[in-house]
Amino acid sequence: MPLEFNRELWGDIHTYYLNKLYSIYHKETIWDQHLYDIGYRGFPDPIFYLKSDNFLTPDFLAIGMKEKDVQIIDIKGFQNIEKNLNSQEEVEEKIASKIMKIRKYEKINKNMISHYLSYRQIDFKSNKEEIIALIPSKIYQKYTKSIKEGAGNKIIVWVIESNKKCYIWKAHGSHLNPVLNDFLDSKNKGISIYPGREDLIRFTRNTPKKIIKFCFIEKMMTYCSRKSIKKFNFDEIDSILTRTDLPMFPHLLRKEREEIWRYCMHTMMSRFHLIKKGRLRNQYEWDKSRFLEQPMDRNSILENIAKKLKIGVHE
Amino acid sequence: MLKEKIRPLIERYLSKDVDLGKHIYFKHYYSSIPLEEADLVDILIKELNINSPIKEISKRDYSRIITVNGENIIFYAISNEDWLVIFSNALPHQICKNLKELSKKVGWLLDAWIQGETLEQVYKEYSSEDDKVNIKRKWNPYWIYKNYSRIPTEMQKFFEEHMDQFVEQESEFSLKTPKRMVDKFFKSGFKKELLELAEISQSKFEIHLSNPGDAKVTLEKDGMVVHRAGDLNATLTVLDKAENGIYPLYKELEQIIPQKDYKYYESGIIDINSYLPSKILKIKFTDKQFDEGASIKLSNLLTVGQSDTEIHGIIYKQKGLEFVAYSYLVYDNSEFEILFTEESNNPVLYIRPINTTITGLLYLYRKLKEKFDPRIERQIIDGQDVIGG
Repeated sequence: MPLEFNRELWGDIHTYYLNKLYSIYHKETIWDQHLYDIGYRGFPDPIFYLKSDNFLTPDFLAIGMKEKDVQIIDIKGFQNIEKNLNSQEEVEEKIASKIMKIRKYEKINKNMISHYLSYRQIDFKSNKEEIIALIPSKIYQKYTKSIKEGAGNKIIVWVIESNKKCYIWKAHGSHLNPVLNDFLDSKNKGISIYPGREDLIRFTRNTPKKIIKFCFIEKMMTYCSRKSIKKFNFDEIDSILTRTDLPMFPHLLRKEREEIWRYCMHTMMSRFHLIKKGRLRNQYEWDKSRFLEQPMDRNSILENIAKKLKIGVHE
Repeated sequence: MLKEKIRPLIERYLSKDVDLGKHIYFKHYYSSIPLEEADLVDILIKELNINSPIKEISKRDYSRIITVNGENIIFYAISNEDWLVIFSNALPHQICKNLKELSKKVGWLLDAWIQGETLEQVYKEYSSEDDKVNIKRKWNPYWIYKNYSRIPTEMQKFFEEHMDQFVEQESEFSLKTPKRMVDKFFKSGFKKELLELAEISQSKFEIHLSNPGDAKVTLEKDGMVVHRAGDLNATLTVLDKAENGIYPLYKELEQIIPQKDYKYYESGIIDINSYLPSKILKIKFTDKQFDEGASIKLSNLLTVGQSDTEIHGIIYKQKGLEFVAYSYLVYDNSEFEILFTEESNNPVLYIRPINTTITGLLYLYRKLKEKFDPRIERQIIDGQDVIGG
């Protein structure tokens, strides 16, 4: 079996499913009929702030521009569910309870949805919120009973088939909007998804931390080498990583991204000793700056990090 | 035509130097920052080490004029991604030298590329059999660093037994003769490989032109054309020819580049506004074997780079001789996912740009030809059709 393109730096299986889901809401993915064509718009990795500083982060928010209906979608991939549990019953129970848990999104109310959409300057008032679990078809076939049990009559189940031909269809529950209901019906084979287009979103909230750290460091090093930057301020990082191609986490709020940058900077400083605090407040400087000029120094830093983070050949 | 566009600029800003018979330099750079946005005065003060008075005297849509010590330097934007810098040796020697080597200092500039075939065409087309030709060629294939390189354990033995393949081995020759003698000289058993390797690391021609006018011109592979004497119009014709040579390849590679355009909101959220996925560039090295040597050289070239090869990255997967690399360019923050495999026992690379510009991809492509082997077949594949895609 020859080696294949892996795209693993492009993310994990969760990111893959999220891209597939996003593509049926995206105007740039013209293929068959998509939810975009019947008036739905979708937003990956939304955030809803509750009172008391808490927040909820489902995987996807979809809104119907005609019926003003809302779908709050969580991807339940259950990749390793069988690994750590002993018996079949245990697995089934776990699946049912994990599905049931997404009922927590019932806390997301109309105002929170309007507020989130205002970040994109969309004026929208929801009529009805629906909660959906998106499940890979292999898992669904195997654990249909427990999935339906967990979903009850509060959660709608969508299934994604992502082998050679990609589909999303509805397996359980029904939507307020009959057009959507019909569109997703298994009898109509659901919605066929464009093959490819896994690069609409590169990093999600579920991307493994080690990949985020590696890519963050690589992007900072490459950018600083390009402009011969030895010192930089924390405030500059967000524009370095979003105003240059390809932006990292473009779909998140700036304040959320800054949390990620803070975390990555901490790793760069305390674990890899690549940067140190500068003299001024919020200022950082590269500890050794020879890499700014030498490609082989950049390579040896990246190799070293990949090794410590157990990425790629070091996994 | 380029020459029509730059002639008025030369007449206005460099006519004195042309009249005095100064050498006029035309240095072509690829730039990942558009000319109009670049902080030219700042860059020149810093990189040219200039203490003399320097100021910008004109800034228009496609051109900017900087005066150093009373001498003019013309910056002309051929496109968004490339500039032509025009100056004369009325400037002090050191400043001329630094202007020719800006890409060594500035991370977002690269030397442009006049392909080997184009250079040969120019001298064949524009000079007569009796014109003197001065040809310099240097071949500097990729070699392995003792301390930086990555040799997989299972290839260590091969590496040690074939060490001579991996050490520095420059070859260079210089030839000064009437044009009619050039072919004869090459046929007389000169190192065959150098002849076939038209795309060698450095190549420089100095020719006396008879057609379309009398002039003495030097052309270098790194995007440099020098007018030394005679009719400037003849040199401009050569310049046009040299610059246009790359255009078909440029157009071909353009379709591989992924394109995304974004919409920015105050909250910090950025949405994809328009989107075109990348295609894949497949390169097959038709005169090379798929063996340990190819795997070791290419994996290091694509990740360790060299002082004249600004590529860095990591090997992400390795299975026997095959590998998947992630390669990056400082020039434009390019990122490539590259698969090395075989086809009918020849080494093959599948290059998927994750993020790049045309000139960035052109650079990677050029370095593969120059540093590994120029005898290739290339093909553009749709992203969906590739193995494992």
